[in-house]
Amino acid sequence: MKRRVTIVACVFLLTLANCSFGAWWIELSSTNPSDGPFPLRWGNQEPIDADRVPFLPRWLINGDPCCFKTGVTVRLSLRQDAPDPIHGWVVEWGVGYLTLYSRVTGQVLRTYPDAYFLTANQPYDFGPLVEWIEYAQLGMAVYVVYESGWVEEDYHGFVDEMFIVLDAPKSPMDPAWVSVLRISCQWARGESTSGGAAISLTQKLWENGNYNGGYPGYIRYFRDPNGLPVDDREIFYLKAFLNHPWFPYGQCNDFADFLICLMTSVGVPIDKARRTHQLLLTDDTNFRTNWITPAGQSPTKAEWTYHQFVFTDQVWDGCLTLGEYGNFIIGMEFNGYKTGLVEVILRYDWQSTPPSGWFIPEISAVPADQIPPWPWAN
Amino acid sequence: MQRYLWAMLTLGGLIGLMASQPKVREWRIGGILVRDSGVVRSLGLTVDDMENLTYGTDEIPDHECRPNPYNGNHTIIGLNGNGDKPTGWLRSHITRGWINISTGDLLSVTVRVYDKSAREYETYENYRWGMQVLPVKGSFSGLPLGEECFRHGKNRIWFRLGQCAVEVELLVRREAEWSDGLYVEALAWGIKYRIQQHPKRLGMVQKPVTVLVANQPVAQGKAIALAGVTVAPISDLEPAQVAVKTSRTSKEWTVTASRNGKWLKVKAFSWDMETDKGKVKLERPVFPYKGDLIVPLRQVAEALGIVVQQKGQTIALLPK
Repeated sequence: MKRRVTIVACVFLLTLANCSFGAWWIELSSTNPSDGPFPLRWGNQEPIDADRVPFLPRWLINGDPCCFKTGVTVRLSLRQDAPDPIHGWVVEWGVGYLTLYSRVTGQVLRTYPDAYFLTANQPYDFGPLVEWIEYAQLGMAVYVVYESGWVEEDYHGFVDEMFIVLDAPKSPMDPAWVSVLRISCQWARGESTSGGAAISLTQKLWENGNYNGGYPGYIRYFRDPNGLPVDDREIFYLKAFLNHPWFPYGQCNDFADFLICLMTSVGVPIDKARRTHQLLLTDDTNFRTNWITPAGQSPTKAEWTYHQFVFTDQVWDGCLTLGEYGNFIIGMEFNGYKTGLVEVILRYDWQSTPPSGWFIPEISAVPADQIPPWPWAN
Repeated sequence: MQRYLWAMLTLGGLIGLMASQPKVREWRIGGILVRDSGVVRSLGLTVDDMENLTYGTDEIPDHECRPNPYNGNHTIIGLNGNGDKPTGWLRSHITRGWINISTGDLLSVTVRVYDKSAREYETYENYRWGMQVLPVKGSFSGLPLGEECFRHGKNRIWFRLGQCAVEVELLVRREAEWSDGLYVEALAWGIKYRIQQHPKRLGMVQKPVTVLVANQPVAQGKAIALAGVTVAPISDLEPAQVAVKTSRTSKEWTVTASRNGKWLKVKAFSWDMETDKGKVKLERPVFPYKGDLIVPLRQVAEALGIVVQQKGQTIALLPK
């Protein structure tokens, strides 16, 4: 009797813990670790440790998303954590119908050769992946042969989401968010250079975006122990921004921070933001713009306390275009940008803010209900 | 063996106990994304309570709620934000977005409900800093909306009332042609009415208004003063021999009321009414609530030839 209860308890606990015997799966890796797979997070919760996509990507049926560099060779390896209780270990496997699809267009991008009669510990390398940024899906069929001679075949499935990017995602998108890659890999699809991707992402952000007229959106500021605002920090509530009914929607801070996320997620090393004025000086209007066309709106002239944009040694701004007919701000030289944007300084002139010239926004996955009341994050 | 059995059962019990702990939950109802963070503290507001604070998905003529193509959402409801921590601010909120089916313009209403007076968390002064464009105190009409209000640009209004802070905004594709602060404000007055009507008393305490027709009370609980002007559902004039005819299409929501040869026509979110004597500007805008249009009572009644007498919180409608 006791023995039976023990067995039932064991089965119950094992089921509860979602354990199973004899599982095998296909693992994706690459011959060169710097080519991927790159670590990912879902972008659903904080802290980051509770939010990671399993690494390395396991594929069984419709497995976890994965992210690789363009043009690389991917390695498929058979993994198993226990023998099947009846048929024993898998001793042989093979793969066929290896096909890379675009999730954006549905078209077949690549087909790869089949591989049969592989021993259990023999990997299969296939490639190359496409040479451009892509939001892809990898289809395949697998068979395995067990020690007993039992064959499982026609095991069709997908690596449902494969993000193909230019390079390893950079901070603040390291690890990159799956929810951001789903957008950046669509918007920059087809680009094979950093410059091209940066241009595409800036243009697409402007084309899809809705500038909110300069009202607090999804960022909060930090204050020092004296209660004064700190210019070199800003937190961007990215998950809440992504979930807004009018996404992409916000003021210049949100557009700049999101553009940084888009670019760094696909490996473009453009990761810095700059403001035109110290936060302390944003209590009154500081300048009037020339004709601009904010995202989602008709041309206008605006009076602003400050503006924020993406800045490395050039300016990238997906929040607006210059002029009534829309000249994109895609890698503009700083002085030319200022001249194009500012009609007249009404109070304080532009200044390097923060004094170091730039900051990298901090990114948060807390949802809208957890964003503190305006304006402080701390 | 017995010890082993006890260990297994204890482990099972612990797992069961962990599974029964309250957790932050997130779920979806069509285009509505809901999250409840009330693990430690709760405001006691439900999804329905939050939806009662804003317009229904089909309640704004010429607009509809379309799920965002990227995230599938037209409404975000956050219950008990920060309620996973034992102290600090506690807030529930609802944001709903509509799209104008004719122009493509976007319209959104956000209501945030705090655990105490919203003044503790949101004031005009908070918003006087750190924004790209500064707000201007007061409403578009100049009427006092809530305890405090400001407008921002040509198409956004914010106000605070009791535990609630509200933002209504219109994002227009062609600003010069379509800017309409008064339309946005009309929506905001409707939200104020909803806050005051809310069964969980989220607004300011008000003395109830009693409306009498032939000495019989009508509009019980639905007639309230909005900044000094009593508003009530137009259908509540029916006992005063008023014929009420509603016309509701996807483009327009109007009600025509007539009595003894006099007539008037009101339209949802309009600041005026058509009458047999011409157009009349209204003291408060018309807005929908639970299938009816809410109107400024005295103006509408008098336009239909009804004498209105008010004594304290009691208003008598005297059909001539």
